[in-house]
Amino acid sequence: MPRSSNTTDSNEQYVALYRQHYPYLFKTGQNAGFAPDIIKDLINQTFLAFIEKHIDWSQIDQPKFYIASSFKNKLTDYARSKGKTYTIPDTETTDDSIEEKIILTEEAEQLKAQMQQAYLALPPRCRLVIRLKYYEGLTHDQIAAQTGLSHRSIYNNLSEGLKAMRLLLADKPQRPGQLLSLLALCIV
Amino acid sequence: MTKIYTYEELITHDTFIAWCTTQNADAAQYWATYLSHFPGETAHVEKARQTVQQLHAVLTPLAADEAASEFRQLLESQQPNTLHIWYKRIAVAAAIAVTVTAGAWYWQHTTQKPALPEVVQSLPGERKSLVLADGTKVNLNVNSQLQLHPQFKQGVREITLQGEAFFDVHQDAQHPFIIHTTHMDVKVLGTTFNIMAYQNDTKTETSLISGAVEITLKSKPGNHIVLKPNEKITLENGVLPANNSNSMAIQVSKTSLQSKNQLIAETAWTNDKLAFNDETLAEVAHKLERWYGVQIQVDSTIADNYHYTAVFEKETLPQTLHILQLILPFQYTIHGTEVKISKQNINQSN
Repeated sequence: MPRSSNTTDSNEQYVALYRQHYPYLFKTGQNAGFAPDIIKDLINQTFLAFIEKHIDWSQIDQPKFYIASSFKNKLTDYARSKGKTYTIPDTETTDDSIEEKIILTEEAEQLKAQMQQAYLALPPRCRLVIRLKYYEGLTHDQIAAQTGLSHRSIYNNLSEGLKAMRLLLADKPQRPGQLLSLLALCIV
Repeated sequence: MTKIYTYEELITHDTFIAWCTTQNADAAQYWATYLSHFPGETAHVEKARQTVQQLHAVLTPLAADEAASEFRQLLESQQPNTLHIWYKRIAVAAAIAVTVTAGAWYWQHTTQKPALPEVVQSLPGERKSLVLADGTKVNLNVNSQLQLHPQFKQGVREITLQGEAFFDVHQDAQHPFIIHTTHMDVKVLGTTFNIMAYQNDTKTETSLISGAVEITLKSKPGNHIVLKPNEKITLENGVLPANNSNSMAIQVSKTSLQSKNQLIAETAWTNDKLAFNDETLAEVAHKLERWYGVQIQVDSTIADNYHYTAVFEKETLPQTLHILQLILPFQYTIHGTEVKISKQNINQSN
């Protein structure tokens, strides 16, 4: 049915637009001191409002500027609804996140590719903990509250992940005798 | 400021990460002060900073992909409304309807966490923690599935479990919490307990840690069994172990508290521990399969003769097998996700 396939197409256009603009919108929210889940929520609301308003993107000169200011309005409204005032830094609309600007040397590029590969090979829980800590910038307490993992488990997953990505040195191989002493273990 | 941070401390330090990846003023201030105290650390700090920024750069596109695909799901769940929005010249009535729906969405979305899906699944090797709409906490063990009743949010607290889960049920006397498994139903009022009901296991087990639960066997719907704390009920192939010919007899036993570290073997997995309590190699292998997401073949001559009691915390599969091997001898090979355990070759052991 043409109607539903058109809807899917326009959805996909919005998903692509969302994907393109998400990184610096997220960063804008973070720099203004909002919590990651609130930021994500407000980005969603910004784009849902565009869909609802039938924005004709061909009429908009600088989509990025338009999207960024709509999002900042959402941030300000949210802050006001909570009785707080935030100063939204406005350095972010003209450039992408720092990372996108850096032109990496070939060696650094290779390292980055290796790091990405190692990350994708990690167990899902390791990946989640690393993403929450290094992308969303959550503390261990916040990660525990969001995932229900124990602090011990967060620590273990984090160090396992960082070791696999070779950002931390792996433990020296232990002799079986030492390993045994670490375990509560008895022979039946 | 007296402490010099190691590289490991730096790259896992929350403020350090904030300084490297955001424009957080407090973090910037803190690390500027640190560097002015310890100017000799500049190169060291710079290296750690590059590492964290590089990690952040790796995560950025992946996080955006993930957020975009969540947004796609959100749009798809809103499809009936978007049809109106996109393809009809909106009549006044429809416009109001859409506004109301969108308003309801905003309200729902700003006042509550997104609704949990009705089915939650964990893969082999993966465990999940979740909080249900009624406040009940569930730890889902590996390779398990939890299905919520469609009206769960409206107060019908019934779920169906395949596999193993640990429950901390939110107290609500008005709405009993019921867990259905293939062979038994468990009815609870505010309590913590563990249920193991994997489809391909021969036994179904419920262990109670605190509170009270009432168990109804599918085969005897008229009878109820009430468990007291630290008791468990085990069913073999859907029936109670029949060492007593009286069919009304109930096999209720104490949960296995491992004296050394006060760890209850039945629920050890919720603390990221894998525990065996006088279990045969066949049972151990079965638990390892689920824990590590592998397939294990055990030589039948030793499968039921070897018994193990042990606790593992964060060992890898080879480390675990190696330790089990030291207790009672066997050989093993690992090819990808396939593991073979065979009897120790006498010639090789000499």
